[in-house]
Amino acid sequence: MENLMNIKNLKKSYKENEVLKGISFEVYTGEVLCILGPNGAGKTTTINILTAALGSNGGEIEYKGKPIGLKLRAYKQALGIVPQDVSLYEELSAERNLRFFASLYGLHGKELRKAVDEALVFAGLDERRRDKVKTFSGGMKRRLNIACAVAHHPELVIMDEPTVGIDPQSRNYILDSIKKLRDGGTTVIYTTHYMEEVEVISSRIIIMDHGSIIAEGTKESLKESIANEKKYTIEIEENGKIAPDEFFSVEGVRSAKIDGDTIEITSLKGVENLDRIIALLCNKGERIRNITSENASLEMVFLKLTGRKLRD
Amino acid sequence: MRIFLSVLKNNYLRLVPRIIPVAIFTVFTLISMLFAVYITGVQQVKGHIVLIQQSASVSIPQSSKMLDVTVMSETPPYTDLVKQKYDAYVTVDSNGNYQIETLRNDDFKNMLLALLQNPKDVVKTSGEERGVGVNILGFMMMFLLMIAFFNLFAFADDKEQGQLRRIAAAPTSFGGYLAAHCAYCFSLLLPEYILLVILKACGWDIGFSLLQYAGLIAVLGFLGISFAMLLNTLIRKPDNANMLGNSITVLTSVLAGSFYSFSQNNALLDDIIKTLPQKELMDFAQYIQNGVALQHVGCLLYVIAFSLAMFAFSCGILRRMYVKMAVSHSINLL
Amino acid sequence: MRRFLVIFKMDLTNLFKNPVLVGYNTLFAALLILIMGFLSSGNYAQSKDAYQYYTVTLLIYGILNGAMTASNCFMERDIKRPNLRIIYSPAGSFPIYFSKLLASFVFDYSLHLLLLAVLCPLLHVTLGANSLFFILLMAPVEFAAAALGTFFCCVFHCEETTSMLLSIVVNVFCILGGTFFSLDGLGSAAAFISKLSPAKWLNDAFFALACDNSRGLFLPVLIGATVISALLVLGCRLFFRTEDYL
Repeated sequence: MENLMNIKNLKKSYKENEVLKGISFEVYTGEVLCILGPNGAGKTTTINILTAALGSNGGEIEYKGKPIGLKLRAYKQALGIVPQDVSLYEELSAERNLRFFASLYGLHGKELRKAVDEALVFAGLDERRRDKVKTFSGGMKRRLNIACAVAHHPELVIMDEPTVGIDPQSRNYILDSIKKLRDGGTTVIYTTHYMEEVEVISSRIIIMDHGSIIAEGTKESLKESIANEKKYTIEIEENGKIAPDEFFSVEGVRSAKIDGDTIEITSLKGVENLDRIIALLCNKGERIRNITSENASLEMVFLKLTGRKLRD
Repeated sequence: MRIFLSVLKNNYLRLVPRIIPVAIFTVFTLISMLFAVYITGVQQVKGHIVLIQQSASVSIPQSSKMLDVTVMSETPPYTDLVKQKYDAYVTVDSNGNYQIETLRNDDFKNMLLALLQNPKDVVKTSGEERGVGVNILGFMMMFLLMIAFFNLFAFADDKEQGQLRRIAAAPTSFGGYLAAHCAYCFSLLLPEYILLVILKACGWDIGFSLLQYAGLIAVLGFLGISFAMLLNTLIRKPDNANMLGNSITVLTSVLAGSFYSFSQNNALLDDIIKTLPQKELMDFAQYIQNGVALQHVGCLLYVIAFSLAMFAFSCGILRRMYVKMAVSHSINLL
Repeated sequence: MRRFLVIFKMDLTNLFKNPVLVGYNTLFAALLILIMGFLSSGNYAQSKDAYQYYTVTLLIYGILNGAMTASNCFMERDIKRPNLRIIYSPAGSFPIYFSKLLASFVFDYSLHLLLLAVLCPLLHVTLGANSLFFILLMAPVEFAAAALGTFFCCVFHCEETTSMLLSIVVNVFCILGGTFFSLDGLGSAAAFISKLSPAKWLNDAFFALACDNSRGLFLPVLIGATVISALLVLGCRLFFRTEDYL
């Protein structure tokens, strides 16, 4: 895949608070790059700098080998932005909103009409084109929000949590639309908190935390990092008799956590020790209600890398 | 009680980032009070005239208590008459006859002629002289009504952004919630009242007693709050409600004679203006000045009733929109 | 240029679609003139002189209140977010605030001209022997008022605060400037204080044009308003930062 963007040592500080600590990554043509991270990791700041809406305190951003500052207008022309907040004129129709935002990217006349028609079809809003946005549901507004960003056929689309607060049907529709964009050669940078979305659409993933990139790769390679692990979730009737440390006596157990009446045990794959774990519980007089097991998931990767503690 | 205190506290916290406009309002109210005091102190002559002296031999009348005379050798521009800078241009011919050029009516011309011929005459004033208390209240009136819209921002934001829906759905008193907003708005009138206390303490004559001012400001505050609440209830966007409210406040305050008493020549218009609560309040202030307030307490009651009606209407609409909706939503959930 | 025109057209459309703003600049202004003129007509031999006074002074009041039109156009809550979406486009940041300014100017100017076109023949109000000068002088003053509203928005980032402050400032200036009643008759100190208000100078200039056919104050007001506009636009450029809206 061709290198589309090169981000080198990007830094950003707000007074004494260092929000980005010199991050570097690349974006390849035609991929869907998902940026994950807890709140306050620096995702939105990164996006804002990439969209040239915010300045940085250091580092370089190159687009097609050239610094974006050199030909900023041309760079912005190639971008399509889907802001996190729905940014539409509610008193105007879907069509008028699209016409306006698409024309900011130089489209006019027949070209503009065609682009608007295509964008409405893309968003599944062709039948509601003349209706005012204020009459739309949340999902429809989000779809239109995306359509306004892609109407001018940008090379790179940056989406900041575009599926917040919408129903599963609209979310599925949006994810399918992103796949269509990718299949059409458009590069997408996508931030989200929803792992299932990342599972469905990502080509590559970047995980950020505290202003740094802590992991980068495909979903397979990231899962590989904990691929040799298996997680058991055991629900017991009422704990009080066993402590987490006791599970380490069982071969293969890597970690154990007890949360009320739920025990989570991470164990090495290939080491068949479930029977010994169950035996340990039974010996302690615990009554087991339910046992589930799962292989490495993105959520596991994410939580392992960033921890389970709540973030501001 | 709990909702009342919670909302009150919350409103004060939300006020902190908006403290600058509040301060500016207070400063402008102070300026308007001082201006009112000054204007009352200025002797109000009946006319400002320009005497065009064509011949040095002709004796010219001097300025007096009733007439302000400016002597010029040339006639000033017509604009100065239109702008009311001068009320008349008077030329004295060699026979001592006065030629009066004015835009004012015949009554004024006749009064002017009489004063020119007999400068020591005293012209009876039509209507009452406004004392310093009436002037202070009048000048404060528009600002206090406008500030009510600004102070009710918390309620307006709650309504627009959806917090009101959550509060109505909670097991709390909706009346308590509204009462808290009213109490909060009333409390923000304190700086203006404190200004009056300071002026009085510094020895200025403010016309009425502090207790009388407390009552008048409370009534005016209630009028402002109920009007602001009505508009914010009826109009979805707070910006539009504010704009409309400020426009109506300016127009009705001027009509009610808060700054300046206009002469009214139309009985119908007089009757319409009398329905304005600001007009009734100004009249009541005049009665206080004249020492006959108790006999005309109806004026004050009218203002209070008017405000109550607006407030009750707002409460009724809000209850229908939010409380009944919250109840029906709860029933649907069950 | 095309992008600027697209944004300008959108802003102008948003303004004309706001019934409160349209009503404020037409109906409310006309009502104020008619009522004030009627109330004070008793003081005059001919009522047209009362209407002459209030048409000019309240027109200036309306022109200065155009600052609030600009702030509404820029940062009214419902349109603030889509307005600022333009930051991401190749249009740049200058069109974002300047198109609002220009749209407000065109909106207010056209509605005020309409108002004059209706009221002047109805109330027998004159704009001078050559009314073109009167109409011409309105333009830079309208622009300066719109620039003031836009500048305040760039500084305070919030339409609510801007409108409230502008409302106080404009009303005080206009009261002092003799919009509702002349302060000249209230003593020399009041007359002096009145001179501190820009509304007073504007009143003088427009009255001179309308009643004396004198253009003595035409150039000073024209140049003054133009310079103030330029400074305010520069101020917008300095204070408007896209980062503050992210």
